[in-house]
Amino acid sequence: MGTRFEVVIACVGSASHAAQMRAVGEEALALIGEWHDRLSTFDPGSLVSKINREGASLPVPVDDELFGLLAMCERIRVDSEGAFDVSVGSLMRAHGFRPGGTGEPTSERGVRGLTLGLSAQSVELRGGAEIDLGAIAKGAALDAAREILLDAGVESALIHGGGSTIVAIGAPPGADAWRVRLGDEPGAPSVRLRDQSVSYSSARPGGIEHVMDPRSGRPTRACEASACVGESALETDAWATVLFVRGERPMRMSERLTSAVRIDGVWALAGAACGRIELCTKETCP
Amino acid sequence: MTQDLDRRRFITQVGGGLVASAIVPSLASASSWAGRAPLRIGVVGAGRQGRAILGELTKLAGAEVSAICDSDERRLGSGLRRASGAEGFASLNDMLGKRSDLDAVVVATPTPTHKAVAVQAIESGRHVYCEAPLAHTVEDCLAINSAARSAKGVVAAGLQGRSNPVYDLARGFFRSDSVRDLVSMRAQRHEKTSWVSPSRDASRYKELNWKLDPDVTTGLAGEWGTHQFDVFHWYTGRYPVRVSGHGSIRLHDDGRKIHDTIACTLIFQDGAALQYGATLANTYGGKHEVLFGANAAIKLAWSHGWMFKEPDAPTQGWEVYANRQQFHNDEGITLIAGATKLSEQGKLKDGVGLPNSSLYYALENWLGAIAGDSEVACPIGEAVRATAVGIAAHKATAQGITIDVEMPDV
Repeated sequence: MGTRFEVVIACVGSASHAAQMRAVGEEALALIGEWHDRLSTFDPGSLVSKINREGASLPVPVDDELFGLLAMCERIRVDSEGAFDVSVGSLMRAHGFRPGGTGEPTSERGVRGLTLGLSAQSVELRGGAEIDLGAIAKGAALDAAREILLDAGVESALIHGGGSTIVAIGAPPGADAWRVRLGDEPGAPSVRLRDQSVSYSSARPGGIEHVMDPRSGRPTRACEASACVGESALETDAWATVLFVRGERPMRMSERLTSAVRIDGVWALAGAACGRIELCTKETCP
Repeated sequence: MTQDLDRRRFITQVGGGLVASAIVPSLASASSWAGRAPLRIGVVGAGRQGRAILGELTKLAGAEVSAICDSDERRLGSGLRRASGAEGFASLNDMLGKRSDLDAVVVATPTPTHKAVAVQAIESGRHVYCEAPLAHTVEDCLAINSAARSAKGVVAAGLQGRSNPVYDLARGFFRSDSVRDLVSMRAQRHEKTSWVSPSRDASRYKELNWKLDPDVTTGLAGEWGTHQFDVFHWYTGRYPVRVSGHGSIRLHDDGRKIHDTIACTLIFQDGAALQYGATLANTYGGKHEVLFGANAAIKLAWSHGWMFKEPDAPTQGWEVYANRQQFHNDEGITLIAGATKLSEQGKLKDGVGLPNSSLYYALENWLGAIAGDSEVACPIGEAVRATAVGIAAHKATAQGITIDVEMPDV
């Protein structure tokens, strides 16, 4: 996933309890490492790389966990009306975002899709497509890490991957929610999280487009930034990307997910009123 | 004499072609199971190592994980999610009894339980792959060895250096004039981790934290060192006769009795010395082994390998085409067969490393041996010797003493 993950566990117990909590954090980070090893497109030994190598010529059997993840991706692809599609790997490579590409912009639509074989639990790639789980891997890994912490009885923690997807467990000691700022800019608004996740997408410095619109086959953005809050980091990770590509909420986006987009420097409602993130500022968010 | 024979064989077999060919069997292995029924495998132990094994088996042609066994419900659940259609069991008896169709068993349980699991699996007639170190006592190692000698199936140990394509390639150079006379050896494994397994259930804490239990652990020297000591055994064909060491707690001062940092010196039969260090308090340098020779040094880092030539060593023809990396003042020749071409094809990790983990190649070798395509790279006898050295090194570092290594008769 090529980014830094951190686990912060609020620990107010004895030294032995602190040692236990450190071990819990290590286990969570180790599990994130396992997800990286399995999902990375940069690692030729990952299961996803194997699918990309062999999936065009024959169905590649996969385990329950990855199959479930790909099935979830397929549901989001349908609900996002094609604005999210993990079979953009060949496009990402062609545009120079992954190894082996020329970096030359292309208008060719490389996305042809993937087929999930339900009976044999396998994945097959069509028409030169390759899988790239970059828009969802962090969220999936963070959800798995959260389960480790919850299983160990952790009641207050914050986990993040690259600062763009953050999972909150409970609240910090003495507060009623974790406050997470959206972006580095001075005056950037915050969201308040308690047993929730937030994902944030924004343009890279210098305006380099790095998020692929599967519908056009080109890197794009419909807004300056987007954010999505929900229970599952996997979902918020994916839907923040959808919002960044579309600039508005698709009709089928779940009401359980709240969202906002930034256009012309102003954070605004992204579509249906039911799904608006409650943003706050330094003054209004204690 | 052995060295001369190996050198002749090296030259006869490969000439200049070894560089181009050594990695090919591993990359082209998927076809070796074509037309054969997949091997139905039961994996015992679904902790971190068990999950890593499940991940590699998913990628290997010919392997089908049919059953997973773990007494811990949560671990069993996480293991089952890493397989497709596998049946879960809480006990080995149940798994072996109810799944008579299992062809093979992988032992990935805590080291002190290896003997019970491995012996039962071997005696049931299954092919067995047992993680290393082989056991926490030499007696248990010998019990597994005894069972393996009358096994119906193929029994292999998880000392992964012996099946690693980089290590195999480098060994060819080591046993040729490229390295020449062995000067000394050095190895380390540095990680920053507590070695604590968290548990909400206090009654299970001791069981889960067997690595920190002085009664059963083989410590850093045993759990980690065994794998690395074996590399030197394999390369030199010799074993240490004496080991001295010491250890201390440098970071994890949480009441534990097991050192988080150790250093030891192993003296080999011919007088050569291996310096070994391991710590849970620092990550610098990671895990690697170095063999220093009169003509060159070889550094092995499991997915990567390099040769650093002496200025007065003769230049060999293949070097012209070799990939090179700069390390401060030293230039390393990348020891990956066909590195330049594979790198261009995007098949190497980070452009210079093996595409798969060492564990992948070890399991692949075991499957190949079962299919009759290859010999077992690490037979149980070698694992007994390596584990005996690891146990002796643990004793020396734990007590701060020098002891003779008693090599078991296998």
